[in-house]
Amino acid sequence: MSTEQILAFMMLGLGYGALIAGLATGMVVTYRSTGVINIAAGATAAYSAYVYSELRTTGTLVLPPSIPLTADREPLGALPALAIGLALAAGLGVLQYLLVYRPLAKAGPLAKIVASSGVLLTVQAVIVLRWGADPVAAPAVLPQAPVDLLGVSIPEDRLLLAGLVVVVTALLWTLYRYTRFGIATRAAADSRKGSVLLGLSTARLESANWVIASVLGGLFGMLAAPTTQLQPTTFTLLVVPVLTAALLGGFSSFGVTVATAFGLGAVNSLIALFQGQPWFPKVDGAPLPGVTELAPFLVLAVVLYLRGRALPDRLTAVAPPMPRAPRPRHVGPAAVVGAVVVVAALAGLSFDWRQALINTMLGAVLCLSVVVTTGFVGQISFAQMAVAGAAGYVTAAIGTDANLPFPLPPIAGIAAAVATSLLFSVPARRVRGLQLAVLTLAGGVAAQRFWFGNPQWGSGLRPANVAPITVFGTEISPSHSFWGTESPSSGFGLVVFVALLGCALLVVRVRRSALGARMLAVRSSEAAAVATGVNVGAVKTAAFAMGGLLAGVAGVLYGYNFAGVSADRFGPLTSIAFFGVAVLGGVGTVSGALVGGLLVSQGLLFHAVTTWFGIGPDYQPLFAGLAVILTVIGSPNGVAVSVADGARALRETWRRQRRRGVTATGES
Amino acid sequence: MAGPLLRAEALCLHYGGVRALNEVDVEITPTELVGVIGPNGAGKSTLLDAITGFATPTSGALTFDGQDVLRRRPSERARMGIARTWQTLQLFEDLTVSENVRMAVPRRPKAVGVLPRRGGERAEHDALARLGIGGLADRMPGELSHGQRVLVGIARALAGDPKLLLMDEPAAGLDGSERDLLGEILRDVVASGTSVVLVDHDMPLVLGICDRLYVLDFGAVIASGAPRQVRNDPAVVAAYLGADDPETRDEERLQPSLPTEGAR
Repeated sequence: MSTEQILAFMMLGLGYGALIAGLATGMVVTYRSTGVINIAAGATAAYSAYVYSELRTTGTLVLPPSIPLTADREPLGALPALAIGLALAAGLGVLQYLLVYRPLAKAGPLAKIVASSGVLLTVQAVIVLRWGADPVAAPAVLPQAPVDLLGVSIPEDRLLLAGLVVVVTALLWTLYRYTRFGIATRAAADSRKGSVLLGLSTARLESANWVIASVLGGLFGMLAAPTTQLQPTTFTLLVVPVLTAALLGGFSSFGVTVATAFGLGAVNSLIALFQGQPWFPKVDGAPLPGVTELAPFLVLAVVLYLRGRALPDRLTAVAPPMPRAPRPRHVGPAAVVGAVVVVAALAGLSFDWRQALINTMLGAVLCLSVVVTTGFVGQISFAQMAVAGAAGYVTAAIGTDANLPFPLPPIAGIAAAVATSLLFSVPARRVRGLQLAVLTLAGGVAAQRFWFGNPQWGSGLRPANVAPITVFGTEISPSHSFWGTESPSSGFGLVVFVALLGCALLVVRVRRSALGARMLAVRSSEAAAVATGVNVGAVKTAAFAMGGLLAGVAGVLYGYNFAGVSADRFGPLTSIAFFGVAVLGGVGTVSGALVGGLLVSQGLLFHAVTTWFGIGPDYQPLFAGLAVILTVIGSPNGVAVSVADGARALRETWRRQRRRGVTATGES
Repeated sequence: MAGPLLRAEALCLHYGGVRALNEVDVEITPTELVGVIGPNGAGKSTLLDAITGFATPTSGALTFDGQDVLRRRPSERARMGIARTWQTLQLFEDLTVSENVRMAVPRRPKAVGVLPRRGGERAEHDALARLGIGGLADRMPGELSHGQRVLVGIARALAGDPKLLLMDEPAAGLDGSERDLLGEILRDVVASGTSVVLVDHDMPLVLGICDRLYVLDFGAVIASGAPRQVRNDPAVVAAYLGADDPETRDEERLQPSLPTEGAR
């Protein structure tokens, strides 16, 4: 490995670095003007890149409806294709702002990041539906002829990309520092009310900023796609290094953001070089995977921990609204009714419906973990699937590899989940809110690639077997006969129900306890909680432990349900989807988690839609994404609380009308 | 009783180039009501933050009850007996009024955190009754008027039986009778043995009920003493009225800070 080689690889990393930088500057722009951390930035940039690629190969514009622009699927020229891609990106920016973020202008950071994850899920779903999940070759835009620089030969486009980033950054810096538009944007961000009084149109300013960000993302997405790979998940998850760069730049400094982006690009490229070296750790003859994903996470964790402040800088007059968390009521009757319904359903339903019910119950357990960490304490964690995965993989290892008998594997698995969740709670004591969301997202990616997808400690690309539950020689699994009933049997469904019931009652109990009150106190006002002597760190730790426990139960049951665990099931995008579904159902209540369970993919609702309306399961992610966006805007407390409120209002009206009716009859 | 309850010596706090506190000396003795006044941005709230631990002084000394507390965490200071209220109240909006107050009732040592604290109910009831809002115990803060919310904030601060209560603009947004009630409550709190530091722009209230005043301007104490003395102090008159253009300065500086969104 020579110095030239190292230099060459670092230069090759300029392409990836430019892509990260372009997206990250866009991230800074939207955050500064509207306070939105746009985690959909990677997905929307990918969309532009896909559209460009489609235009260049078949001349068809995909909106998603396909519009052929050329006769006989002739490829379109590079410039018109680029122009259309940019126009599309601009349109996507305006549309996102007007339809999603403008209605949420006064909402809290939770609502904004959930809405943004809804956009991510929607765009990602559209891409997968139209182009599939496999990598697509992206046509080159910039010339790729090799050029010599400092004695090494690298493709020309890397240099052009890097140069373009520098120019764009300088332009942005000038724009926001010296022009009327830039100063107005900063003024509006500081004080919405103030700028309205000054006669500035916040709507126009903010949509212009969204256009700038979206165009930047689209431009670099199209230009840099050939240097990386056009694949929906990879591109969408670019948001992790992008967020790392933007966070290190404090979501305000373009310079630091871009420098960090190029640094990450160089590191990324160097890791690729090192992976080919004989000294690099090998697993099954292949270089240790996941190191690339681990890098941004470690950088983030260390920087946030060192820079983290123990207390908020400024107390807002009104705490950003969180979904309501009313005290649970009618728990006993609800549990009894639930038990009767579920047992009857398990006994009477056909196999496919039973599986949908089991998926719903599993999803509900996972949503309960979001209720505790996010709903009660206000900590946004996107690593819930990683925590569940820890439980699943440890269960597999203890049960199958170490061959230990039944209660041990799940106990060890759940313990591992609690430990993983506690690991995430360490930074949570120093950082808060959106920073924690970003850190857990990065952690989720790292866990999936470095642990679950690792042939050594995880299972690589194949699933790891989970030995079924066996009690006194009787096997309880979805595919095994139970108590003489016809196979496949409903015994496993009962196990899942009992677990769900236990978890739900636990969360109810926590909500009613003094600890629960302290959790909600921390959520409303961390400062006031501290000032009244509440040990905020201990409360957060307790919440993460409990969230870990619940996610662990879900992870273990997943393993049993599918008789195995695989890395793709515990990925960060699944975490985001689950988080969205939990917020959709209602993140403040147990009933919200149960509603969330109904809405999970392969759960009851989607099974019904598929069975009755013949809409394929491929469309589930699209509906989920749209539903998340609509709920955050229309029903911020979640479906469960809105339904309960609606029912109460209806009862009131009904009662009043009956009273009036009685009076009317009396008069006649 | 020997020595002051709280003593701040040469307290400095800089945010970047801004000197929010500059060599501030403050002394609070047991059972006295001390007012802190000064124009907007004079450092009043920062002083409260520094005493409670929400802001870290750049230099200086801070002792409470004879102990050095400068490096103690805010929650530790709270448990030592320093309570505070906020201009923005910072009530726990998801908890009932009684739960809000219970949060501040000290737990008995070794009590298991998950179990409800039975002993706390008495103290919580007392704290509410003392402010005449016992009837609101089961209501949610969001359902109350601003005046009632202010009282809940005070009840919560008093529930821990603090030795020192720091209040940040409690009178903002209150009407005349509510302000009078607030004054009575504060005198009553002091009479029962708790010292109070009152930061407020409401001059009649502050001058009427405080034993002693500190006047801050640009982060420094420019005057202190009994209300009567302070009112006639030339430095105070200058700070409030300004020397250059009395007419406009007067309006700018004597104006109470705008009521916040919390004030309805």
